[in-house]
Amino acid sequence: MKKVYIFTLLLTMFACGKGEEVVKEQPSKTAVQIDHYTLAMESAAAFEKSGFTNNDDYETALSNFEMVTATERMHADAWFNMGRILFYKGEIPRAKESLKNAITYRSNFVEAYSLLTKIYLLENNLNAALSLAEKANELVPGNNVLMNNLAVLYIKTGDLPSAKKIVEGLIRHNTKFTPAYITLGNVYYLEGKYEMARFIYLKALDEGEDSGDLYTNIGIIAIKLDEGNNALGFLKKAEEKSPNNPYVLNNVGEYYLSAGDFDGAIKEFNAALKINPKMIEALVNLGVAYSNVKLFNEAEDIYKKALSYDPSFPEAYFNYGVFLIDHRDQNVKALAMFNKYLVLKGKEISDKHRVYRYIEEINQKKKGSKK
Amino acid sequence: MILLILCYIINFNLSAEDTKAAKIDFYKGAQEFVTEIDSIMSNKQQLKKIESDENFEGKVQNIEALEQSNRDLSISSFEAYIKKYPNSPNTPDALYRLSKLYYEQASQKVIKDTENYEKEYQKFLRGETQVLPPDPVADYTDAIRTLNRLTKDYKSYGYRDEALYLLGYAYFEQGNTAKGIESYEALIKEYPKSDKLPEVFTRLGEYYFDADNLTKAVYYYSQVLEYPDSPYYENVIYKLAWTYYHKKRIDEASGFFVSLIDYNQRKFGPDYSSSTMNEAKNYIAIGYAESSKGIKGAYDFFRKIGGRNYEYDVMQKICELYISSDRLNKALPAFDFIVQNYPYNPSNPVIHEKLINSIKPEQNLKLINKERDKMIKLFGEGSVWREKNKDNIKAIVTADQIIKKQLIGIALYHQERGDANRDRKEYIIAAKMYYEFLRKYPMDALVVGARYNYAKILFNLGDYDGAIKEYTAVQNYTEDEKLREESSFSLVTAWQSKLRKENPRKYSTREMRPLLSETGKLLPPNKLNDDESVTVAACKKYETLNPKGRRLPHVWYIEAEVYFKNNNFDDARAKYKAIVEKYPNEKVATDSIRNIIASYTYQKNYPKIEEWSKVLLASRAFDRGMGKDEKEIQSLMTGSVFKRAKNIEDEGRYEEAAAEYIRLAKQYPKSEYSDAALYNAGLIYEKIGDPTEALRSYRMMLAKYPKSKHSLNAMFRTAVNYEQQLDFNQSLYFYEQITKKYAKTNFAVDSHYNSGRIRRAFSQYDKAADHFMAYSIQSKDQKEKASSLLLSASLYERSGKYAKALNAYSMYVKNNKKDLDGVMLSHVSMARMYDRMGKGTLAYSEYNNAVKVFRASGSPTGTAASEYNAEARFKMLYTLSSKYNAIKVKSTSVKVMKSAYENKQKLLQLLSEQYLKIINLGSPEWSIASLYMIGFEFNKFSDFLYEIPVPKEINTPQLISEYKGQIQTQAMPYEDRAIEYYEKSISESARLKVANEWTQKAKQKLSQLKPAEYKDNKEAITVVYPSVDIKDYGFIGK
Repeated sequence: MKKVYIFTLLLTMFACGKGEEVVKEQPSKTAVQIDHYTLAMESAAAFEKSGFTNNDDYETALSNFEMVTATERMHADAWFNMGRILFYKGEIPRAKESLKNAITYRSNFVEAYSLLTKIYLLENNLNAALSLAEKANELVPGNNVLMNNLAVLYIKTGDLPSAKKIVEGLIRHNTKFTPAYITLGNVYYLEGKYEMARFIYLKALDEGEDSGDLYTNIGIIAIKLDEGNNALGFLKKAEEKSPNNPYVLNNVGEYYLSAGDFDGAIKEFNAALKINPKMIEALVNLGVAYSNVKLFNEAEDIYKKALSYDPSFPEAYFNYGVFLIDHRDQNVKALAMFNKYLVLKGKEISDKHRVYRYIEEINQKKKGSKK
Repeated sequence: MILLILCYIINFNLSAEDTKAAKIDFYKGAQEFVTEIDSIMSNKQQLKKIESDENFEGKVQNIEALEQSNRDLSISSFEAYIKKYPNSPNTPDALYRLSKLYYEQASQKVIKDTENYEKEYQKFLRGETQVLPPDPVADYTDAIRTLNRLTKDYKSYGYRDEALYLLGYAYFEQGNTAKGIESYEALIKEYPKSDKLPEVFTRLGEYYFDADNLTKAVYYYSQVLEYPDSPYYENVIYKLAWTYYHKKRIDEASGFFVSLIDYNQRKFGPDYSSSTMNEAKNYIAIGYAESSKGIKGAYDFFRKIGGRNYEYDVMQKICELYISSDRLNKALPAFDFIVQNYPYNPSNPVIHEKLINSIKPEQNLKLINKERDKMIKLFGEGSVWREKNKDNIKAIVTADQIIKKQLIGIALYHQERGDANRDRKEYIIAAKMYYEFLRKYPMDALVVGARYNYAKILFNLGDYDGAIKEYTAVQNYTEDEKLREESSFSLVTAWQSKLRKENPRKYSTREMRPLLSETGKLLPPNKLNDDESVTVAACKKYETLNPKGRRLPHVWYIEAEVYFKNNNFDDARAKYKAIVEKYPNEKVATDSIRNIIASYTYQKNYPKIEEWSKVLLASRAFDRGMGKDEKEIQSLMTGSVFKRAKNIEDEGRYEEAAAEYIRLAKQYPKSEYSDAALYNAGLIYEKIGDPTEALRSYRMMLAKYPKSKHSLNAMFRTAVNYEQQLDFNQSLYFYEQITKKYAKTNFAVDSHYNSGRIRRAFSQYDKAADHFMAYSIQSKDQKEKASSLLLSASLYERSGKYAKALNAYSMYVKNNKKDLDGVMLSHVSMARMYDRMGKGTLAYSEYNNAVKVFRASGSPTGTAASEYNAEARFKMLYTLSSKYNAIKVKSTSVKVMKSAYENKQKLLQLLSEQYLKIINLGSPEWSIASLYMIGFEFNKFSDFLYEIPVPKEINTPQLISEYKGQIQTQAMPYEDRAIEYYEKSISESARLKVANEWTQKAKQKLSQLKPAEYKDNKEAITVVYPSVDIKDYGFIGK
C-alpha cells in the first residue's frame, strides 16, 4: 500500500496521533514513592514481557503498587497500572476496583476507561461496558480513543450504522488514528463487505498500525475471500503480535480446524478461552474440534456452555444441532436447535442453506419412524 | 555741351569712367561748330538758369524740353542753311552738324518711345490693355541720309573720317550692320591714321565677338594693341583674354590677363590693385582650375612668363576653387603643390585650414585627421615654415590659432572614434592630444572644455583617478553652469566607476547586492570606506552646486547605491524615497522603487515588498514600461506574499501560513504563484490535519488553474485526501481522471494502482484488474510489475473475464520465467479456467505445461510450485480416469466381456500406479486426493463387475444366482481395496493435519461402504470473527 504518496514539498507527516490522545500526568515524586513505583513498573513490564505468565514479576509488581497506593492514595497511574496487571492475571474484580480508583483520582483517565470497558466486555456485560463508554465520552468529550471504544460497543450491540458513523467521523477528523480504521473495517466485515473491510484494514496498516487485531482481521478476510494461502501468514503474524488476543487465537484455531489440524485448533481455542472464558466464537469452534477428534462429551459440554453464555449466538445452536444428530441421534432436539438457529439468523439465511436440508432429513426420518 | 551730355546719356549709357574719354574724343571734331551752333541757339542764359534748378527731375524735364526746342530750331536752321547754300564751303560742316542733330533727334525719340513703350507694356501686364505695344524702333534715316551725302559728295572733307565713323555707328544702331561694317572698313582703309581707328577696331572686334566670330574679333581687338595709349587698349586686352578664355586657350587668355595686370601695374605702380586686375587673376585661376592643366599648368605658365608677384594668389585661388567646388581630389594635390612650390608662404596655414574645413567629417574623418596631423608638422613648432616666417608675427599667430583649433579637432575626432567603438587606441591618441594642448596652451580659453573632454577620455580608459582629478578641476574652475553640472555629475559617476573597479564584487553592476555572509546571510550595516565616503561627498557637492540639476535624481540614486551596498538600508531608502517623491516621472524613480523592494527583499520584509510593489505598479513612470516589466513586478509582489507565507510556514505558524497563501490566491488571482499558493495551502491543511480545508484548497486550485503545473499534484492530493476522508467515489474519480488526463506520468501509474485498490474494495474486480494491468505495464519496478500482473490475472479470473485472465496469466508466464511459483500458478490457473470452460484439451495442455516447467526447474520440493505440480499431475489423470470409467459392458458376448474386463483392469493398474506417484510427490492435499482417487477407481471397478450383463448362456435362476455369487466374489476384493484407500486418505489427513474436500468425499464413500463404522456427519459451522475489541494502551507512566 505504499502507493499513496505523501509529497513532502512542504509537508512532513505527523507521527500517529495516538500519543496526543492520551492525557498523561506525571505522579508527584518523593524519595520513598519513587522506589516502590519504579520497582512496581519494572516488575510490571517484566510481567508483560513474559506474556503475563511470570508470577514472581506479578507479585513483585502488585506488592509495590499496593505500597504506592497505600502511601499515596491519589496516585492514579499506580492504580491504573496495578489494575492492568490484575486484569491480565485474571483478578478481574480487583482489577476493576483498581481501575475505578484510577478514574476516581483522575476523571479524564482515558486508558483507565478503556481498560475497564474492555473488562466489562470480556465479562459479556455489554450494558455496563456501553454505559461506561458513554459516560467516558461525556466526561472527556471528543477523545478519539473513547469515541472508538463507543463504536466498538455499538458493533457489539449490532448497531453497525452508529458505529460506522462514529469511526468515519474519527477518521475524517484524524486520518492517523488507526484504531478507528480497524473498527470501520470490522463494520464492513460484519456487513459482509469483505473487500472493503480489507481495504480499510490495509489503510490502517499503511498508517502504521501493527497490532495483532489488524493482522487477524486481514487474515480472516483472506479466508472469507477463499485466499486461504494468504490467510495463514496474516494469522501467524497476528499471533506473534498479540499472543493474548482471544480473537487472534480463535481465528488461528479456526484456520487449523478447517485445514484438518484438529489438535492445533483445540489448543488455540482453549488459549482463547483461557483469556476470555465466555468467548462464544471460541466455544463454538472448540465444540466442532472436539467432535472431529471424537471427544463428544467434551464437545457437548462446550456447546452447552456456549448456549448458556450467549443464548443469542445462532451458530452455537446450529452446531449443537449437528452434534446431536451426528453423535447423539437426538433428532428432535437437533430440530429445535436448527429452528432456533433460523429464528436468530432471520433474513440473513438463504433458502439454500443446508440447515433446511438437515431439517428436511429429520422430518423425513420422523415420518419414516411414524410409518 | 548739353548736347554732348545728352548724346552721352542717350547713345552710350556706359560706365562713366571707362567710356568717358572715348566719348569726349568722339565729339571732339564737332567743337568748331560750337560757336555757330551757339549763335543759332539763342537762349544760353535760360539754360544756365535751368541748370541751377535744384529739382533734378524737373530740371531734366526742363532740359529735355529746352534741348528739344533748341534741336528742332537748329535742325530747321541747318536745313534752311543747306537749302540756301547747297554748295557752300560750309555745306559739308552744315551737313555734318545736321546729321548729328538728326541723330540726336532720333535718339531722343527712341528714348521717348521707349518710355511710352514701358508704360504701355506695364498696362498690358496689368491687363488694362489687350494689345502688346510695338517695340520702339530707332530711325536714323535722316542722319544716315545726310551723312551718306556728306561722305560721298565731299571726299576731301576734313572730318570725313568722323562722318564715316558716325555713319557706321548710325547703321549699327539702325541694325544695318553690313552698311555699318562697310562704313567702318572704308574709314580703316581710307584713314589709316585716323584717331578713330582704336575705337573702330574695338567696335568691330566687339561686333564679331558678339557674333561669335572670334577669329575676326581677335583680329580687330589685336589691331588695338598697336595703340597702347588708347583708352580702348586695356579693354581690348581684357576682351582678348576673355576671347581666348572662351576658346579655352588658357595660356593665351592668361597671357592677356597678365598683360592687363602688367599694364595697370605699369600705369599705376606695382602695388596698384583694381577689380579688373583681381578679376584677371581670378580668371587665370579659374581658367587653369577648369582646364586639365590645373595648378601645375598655372605654375608652368608663370614660369614661362618669368613669374609674377601675384602668382601665389593665383595658386591659392585655384586651390580655393577646388575647395569651394568640392573637388577634394584636386584640392588636396593642389595644396600639396603649393606647399611644395611655395613652402614658406605665410598664407599656407590658412589655405590648409580651408582645405581641412572643407572636408566633410561625416565622410572622411580619417582624412581630416591626416591633414590635421600634416598641418601640425608643416606649420607647428619646429617646422621650417615657422622658422622662415618667424618675423611674420601675424602669420605665426594665425598659424598657431589654426593649429590649436585643429589640435582640439583631432582630439575630438579620436575621442568620437573612441566613443563609437570603445576603441582604447583612439582614446589614447585623443588623450595625448588633449594633454599636449593643455600643456602648450594652459591659459587658453578652450582649456576648461579640453580638460572636460580629457577627463571623459580618462574615464573611458578606466583611469578613474585621472578623470576624477580633471572633473574636479573643471567643476571648480568653470564658470559655465552647464559644464559645471556636467563635470559635477561626471565626477560622481567617476567615483562610482572607481568603486566598481576596485570593488568588483561589491559594486557589481549586474545586481543590487548588499553585504552577505558566506552562508548568504545579511550582514549588519557597514561603515563606508574612504572612497565610498568621497563618492557620497561628491554626490552631496553635486547637489550643492546644482540644487536644481537635471541629474540630481541620478546622483541620489548613486549615493543610495553606496548606502545600499553597505547595508545602510535606511539611508539608501531615504534617498530612493526622495527620488520617488520628487521625480516620480523619471525612470530612475521606478528603479529606486525596485531597489527599495530589493532592500526589503534582502531583509525579508515581505509586507514591505508587497507595499512597494504596489507603489511601483501605480507609479506613472512605471506606466511607460508596461508589459513584460509589469508582469515581473506583479510576480515579485505576489512572490513576496508567497515567500511571506512560506516564512510563516517555516516558523511553524501553519494556519497563518495557509491563510496567507489563500489570501494570495484570492487577492491576486492572476499571479503566477496563486496556483502554487493554493496547492501549498492544501499541503499545510493536510499537515495540520484539516483535510476538509485541504480539499477546499486543492479543489479551488483545480477549478481556477486547471492548466497549472501543480494540477497533477493537486489532483493526486485531492484523490488521496478524499480517500483519507473515506469518500472513495470522489477519490476514485480523481485517480481515474489522472490516469486519463495524465496517462504518461508517474502519477498515472500510481493512480492506476490506487484506483485498482478502490475498485477491488468495491468488489469491481474486472475494473480493478484493468487498473492493476495498466499499473503492471507502466510500473518500472519489476517486482511490482509482476505482482500486479498476477493480481490483475486473478481478479479477471474472479470476475469471470477468462479471456483477459488467460491473457494476463500468459503475460506473466512470458515475462516472469524465473518466478517458478508464479509461473506454475499461472499455468494451473489457466488450466482450471479451461476446465471450467469445458475445454479439456487446453486444460490438459496447461497442466502439462506446468509439469514441464516444474520438471525443468529441478522439481524443488516443499514449495508452492511443487503443490501446483502435484495438482497438475493429479488433474492430468482425469483423462485417463475418464477413459477408464468409459469402459462398460453392455454386450452379453463373453468375448466382449473378457476384453473389456482385461482393458479396464489394465487401466486400473495404470491409474493406481500414477496416483501413487503423485503421493510420492509429497503434497499433503494431493496425496489425500490421490489416495481417495485410487479408492474411487477400485470402487468403480467393483461397480463395473456388478454392472456386467448376465450372459445369455446363463439362463436359469440357479445359474444366475451362482453367477451373481461369483461376480460378488470377484468384486469384493476391489471394494475392499476401495475402502482401504478411502480410509488411508482419512488417516493420512489426520496424520498430516490436513482436511479438504477429498477427506470429506472419502468419509462420504465410507459412510456408504461401511455405514456402521462411518457415519455421514453433517457439516458444522466454524466461526471466525474480527477482533472487535477495546484496545489496551499499555502501562502508564514510568
